[in-house]
Amino acid sequence: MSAQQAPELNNAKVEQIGRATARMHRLLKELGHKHQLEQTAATMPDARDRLSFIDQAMHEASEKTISAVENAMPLTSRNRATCSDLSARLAETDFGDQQALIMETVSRLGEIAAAEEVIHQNLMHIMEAQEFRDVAGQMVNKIVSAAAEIENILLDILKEYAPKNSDSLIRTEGLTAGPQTKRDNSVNGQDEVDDLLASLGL
Amino acid sequence: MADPNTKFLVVDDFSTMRRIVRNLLKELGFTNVQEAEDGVDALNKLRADKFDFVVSDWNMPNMTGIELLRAIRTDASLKHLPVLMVTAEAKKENIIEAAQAGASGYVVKPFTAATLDEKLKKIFLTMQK
Repeated sequence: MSAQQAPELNNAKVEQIGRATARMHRLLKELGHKHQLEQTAATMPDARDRLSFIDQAMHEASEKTISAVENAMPLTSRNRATCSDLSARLAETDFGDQQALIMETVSRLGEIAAAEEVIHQNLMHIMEAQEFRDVAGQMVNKIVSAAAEIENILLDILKEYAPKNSDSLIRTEGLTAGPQTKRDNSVNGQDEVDDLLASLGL
Repeated sequence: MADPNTKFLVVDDFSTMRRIVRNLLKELGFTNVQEAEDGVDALNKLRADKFDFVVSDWNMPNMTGIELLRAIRTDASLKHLPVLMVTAEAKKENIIEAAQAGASGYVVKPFTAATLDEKLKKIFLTMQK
């Protein structure tokens, strides 16, 4: 797009955005906020790393939880089966004087089996609750992408108004080497912003 | 009652989710379960081996669940397979799209073993008719 074509857009909104951008540039220059902008842009890769860390931590925690549940589930099933088997056999046998004790044991075994059933159900709930990992993980990934986008926008602004600064953060590896940073796109975007600004006499 | 040997293919890009679905199926008495990490992987497995049931996520890289469903429905040897969509996509348009593409059922995450049981039973009942 050339500077000559830009006015033909004749779109009030585009012009408004252009003016706002130009004003922001002027204000930033006057206020000396370049450094702050650089700092903000520099915090973005860090924010991404932290979110990725959270995602990884969630993943490990769910995997550990599921492993623990998987290990515990067969135990509850086996305990239930053992209780039923023992109580059935005890109930069928005549222990003479000890009959009262046996009947109490049978009754207690029934209670243990019922408790094991409750434990089993709770283990299932713990397993089902790990589904949060899926949806929460997708949300974290979206925020990571958003952070990368904000970083690109900030970098564009920085490039635009401090292009000759040799110690600018724009030139440092850490920022331009980010996974979502597209140098080509940024340059295209820059041209377009320049065209628009030129059309507004800036 | 469904055959406990029913062979399931669980398709999800999240390994934790595949593990959960596998455990829920086990709780319901189904232990013959294989896993695939996306639609492409699933199609390869479905074509290489005989399966009885597909449980698939929607949002996956390479080939999404809805693309997998369409591929299954247009493949002469696979089109009769029941496909249960298990997904976080709760929008009406998604559900309608899945139904039109020939989904056998649709479960929205997060879900419980009870929900899965109910949907499976419903699908098995339809299959018997």
